[in-house]
Amino acid sequence: MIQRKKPKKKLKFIWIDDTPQRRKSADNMSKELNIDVDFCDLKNKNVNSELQSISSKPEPDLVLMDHSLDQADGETTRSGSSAAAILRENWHACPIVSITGTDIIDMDTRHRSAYEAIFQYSDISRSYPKIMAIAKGFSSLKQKPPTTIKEVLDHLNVPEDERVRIIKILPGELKDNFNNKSLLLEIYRWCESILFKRPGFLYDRLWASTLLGLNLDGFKQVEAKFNSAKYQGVFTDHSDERWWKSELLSILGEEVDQVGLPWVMGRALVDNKKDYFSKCYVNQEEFPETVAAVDATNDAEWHPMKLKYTDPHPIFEDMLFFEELRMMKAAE
Amino acid sequence: MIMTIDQNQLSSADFIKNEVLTLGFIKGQTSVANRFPELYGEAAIAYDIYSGKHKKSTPTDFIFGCELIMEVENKSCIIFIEAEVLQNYSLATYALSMCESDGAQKKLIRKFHFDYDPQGNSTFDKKPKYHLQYGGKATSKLKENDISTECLQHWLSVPRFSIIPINLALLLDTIFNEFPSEETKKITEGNEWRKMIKTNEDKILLPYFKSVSQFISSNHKSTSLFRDFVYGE
Repeated sequence: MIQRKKPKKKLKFIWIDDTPQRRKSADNMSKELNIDVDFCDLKNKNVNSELQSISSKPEPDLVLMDHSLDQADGETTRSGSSAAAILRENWHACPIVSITGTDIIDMDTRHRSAYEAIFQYSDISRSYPKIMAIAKGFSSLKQKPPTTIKEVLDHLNVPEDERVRIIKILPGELKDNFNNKSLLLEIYRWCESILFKRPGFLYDRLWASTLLGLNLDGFKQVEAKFNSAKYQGVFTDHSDERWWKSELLSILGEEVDQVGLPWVMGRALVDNKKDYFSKCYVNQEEFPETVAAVDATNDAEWHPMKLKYTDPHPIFEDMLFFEELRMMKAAE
Repeated sequence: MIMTIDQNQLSSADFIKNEVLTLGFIKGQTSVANRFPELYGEAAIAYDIYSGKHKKSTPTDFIFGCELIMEVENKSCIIFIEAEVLQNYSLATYALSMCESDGAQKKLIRKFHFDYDPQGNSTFDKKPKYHLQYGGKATSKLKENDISTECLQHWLSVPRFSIIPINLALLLDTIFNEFPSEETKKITEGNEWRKMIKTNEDKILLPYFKSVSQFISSNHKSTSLFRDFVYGE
């Protein structure tokens, strides 16, 4: 008898909004991502009672929440972040992402912390990969919630050689209390704020290419060799990839005969073609040793730089086992 | 049967494998990462490269260098440690260079080499198989940092003193003990560090002392001095 593969269950999202015109966007998302999206229109409705009704139903894979619910019934909850808090009373491990029509930068920290991520409505289709990464990550964690540190590391797909170090820096709430109802949210938040954000264990494209002594074009030439170094654990976002630094170096060791500094060795992979060499942003010198911000603002660009042209970044504290984050020295 | 001082020495492949393990050990040490980030960073990078290189093959060469910033007799010093061990011990050398720095300029103030030379007794350049040499030529780290060796008369390569064998772990342990501080004590007195050093003493020092002990108990006479033994004669 031929065994049929069980069809994959479609992901289910709930989109909560007080702008009915956005139903069309929800339908588009449903079609494009092949998922179910229930649109809950709150315009002129009592938000609290609607939320009670919504959260009495089975937990979806993700909630998209309009951040500003000012077209809902005036006597009730008016912000998406408060609505998110109400939903979480029943849905402890449900990712809630915010959709906002205003500038994300204008949202204050208290509101931001209510959501797993915030997306600009006008840019929503470009955010699909990230939204799917969050939903799939939670779905996978919910299928087999970790009950040991090892299982947390398995979900993150941590290479064998890195496990001891990761255990040393995992926060207590991910190591000690596996009965914690918000464990899955804690895992996500740690991944987003530390593991994916701070270069150290994982490198983004710019850090990875600079480590290998290459510019972004050069890295593209050799990227395929490093496929097995790609992060493949929960919350993998294919639009913003990460590579395990240790695996990048290990593959480099396999590929290149000589032993030495990785940014020298990496150039052998592109036959030492100068066009592909990484250069310092400040004065085009070769062998930039770090990636630094051009200024201290939130949306500053980051570029490869020689250490001598940088200072420690005033915003980011040093973290054990992570790279020191630096900023371009101010012009004298 | 001819007895030699290095008859129980690890094969160069096993010796190098052990050096890579030491890098892996350092990579996992929070105490080193906190106190000596340069050593930690270099060791972690070198370990990952070596572990990839030797997924399919046995290591044949080992090259490693790092920089430590330490307080030495109330003065801040830059210390370079370098290791170069090539296939079949065609070269096996560890260098310790100490520099003082006034910001931009680094000045070499001491430099030692710890060498193992299995061909110790060549007619023209007789040397103890395990020896310590003061001065010597510029190493890669010194060249990289543009530090001159002129002040130590680098042309002079003698005398060479007979010493016990050394490797990366034992050299680091020596440095941490010779230039002690609260920082180094936190590393060297940790259980994990002591266990790692014990393993390295077992692998590097015990075979040496076994050979010496065998020699002294069976072959030590005026026609066969310990001095002859260390030169491999």
